[in-house]
Amino acid sequence: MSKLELIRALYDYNEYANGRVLEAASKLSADELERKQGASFESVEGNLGHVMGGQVAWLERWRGHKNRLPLTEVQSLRGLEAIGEAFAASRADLQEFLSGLTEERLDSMLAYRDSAGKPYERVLWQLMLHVANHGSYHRAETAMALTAMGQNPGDLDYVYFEISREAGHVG
Amino acid sequence: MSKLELVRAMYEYNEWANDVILEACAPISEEQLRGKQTISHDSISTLLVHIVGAQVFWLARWKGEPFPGFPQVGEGPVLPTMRESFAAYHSELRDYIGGVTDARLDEMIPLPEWADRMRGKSLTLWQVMMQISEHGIHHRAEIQSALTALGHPVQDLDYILYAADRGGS
Repeated sequence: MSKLELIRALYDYNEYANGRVLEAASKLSADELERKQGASFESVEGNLGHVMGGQVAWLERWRGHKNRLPLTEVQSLRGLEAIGEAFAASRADLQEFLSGLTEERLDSMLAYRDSAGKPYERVLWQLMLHVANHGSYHRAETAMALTAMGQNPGDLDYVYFEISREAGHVG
Repeated sequence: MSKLELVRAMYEYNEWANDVILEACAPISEEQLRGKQTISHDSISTLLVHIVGAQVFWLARWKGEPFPGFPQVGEGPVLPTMRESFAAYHSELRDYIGGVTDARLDEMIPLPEWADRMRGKSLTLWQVMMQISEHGIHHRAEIQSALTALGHPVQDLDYILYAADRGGS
């Protein structure tokens, strides 16, 4: 198994875990969705918007689109239906990007600018690991908020994802 | 870069992030460390034990050795005991990962039988190594949230910031 396959596995897990959290969030009322819960982006809605926004904004950079879709704008999306649709679109875009990725590309340096325009240069695999970790971090906060409102998304452990995948229960 | 190097990078980050969280706990009292929080394992203390305990458990499994048991906090101060446990198992993890090969990463590891869905199942070593990495991120986020609620926000744990510190630019 190559490094590329490991990165793909990480993004398959990312989509699985996003789906689990979105499913739990779908059981919240509109009031609960936007209720302040002490998460980084205040509410379940705010945190989900941030996870999705991070995926979209970083993929834009990986594709060389130079912040065409700024994070602050993308993550401000509100309403679970709209956020769910944006996650679905992001998932499709990520899958397309991942399917065309090569080992050489993963090891290549990528020049990009952050939202404030500051220039950086970093190896692509590091940026891809960052976005996967970022999702795990903010999903944990979201899971805490969901649990506090009686909608525990259940275990998001990586081993359970792999067991489900090997049993054919993950698409 | 091979997948082994990627796994090593994930574990170097895991160790760094664990150390950041341990130091972020320094300003809070014993009572706050042991006090009930709205996190998955009641208190920051029990969650720290859970994070390091998972490392101990899985490392023993990868080595084919018996589980030595969860580290114990006891009646004494929590943080010195936890620093000691994390340092010991970070060191053991580094030693283990230093000897792992790409071929070994693809070998099958029988899963424990503590849950029905694991019974009789095996996964590759790299898959169960991903578990510890993800597990740490998840539970550190909970501790970070609890510390923020106690008035002690923690520095950003983004991988990209860690990588920039290590690799410049």
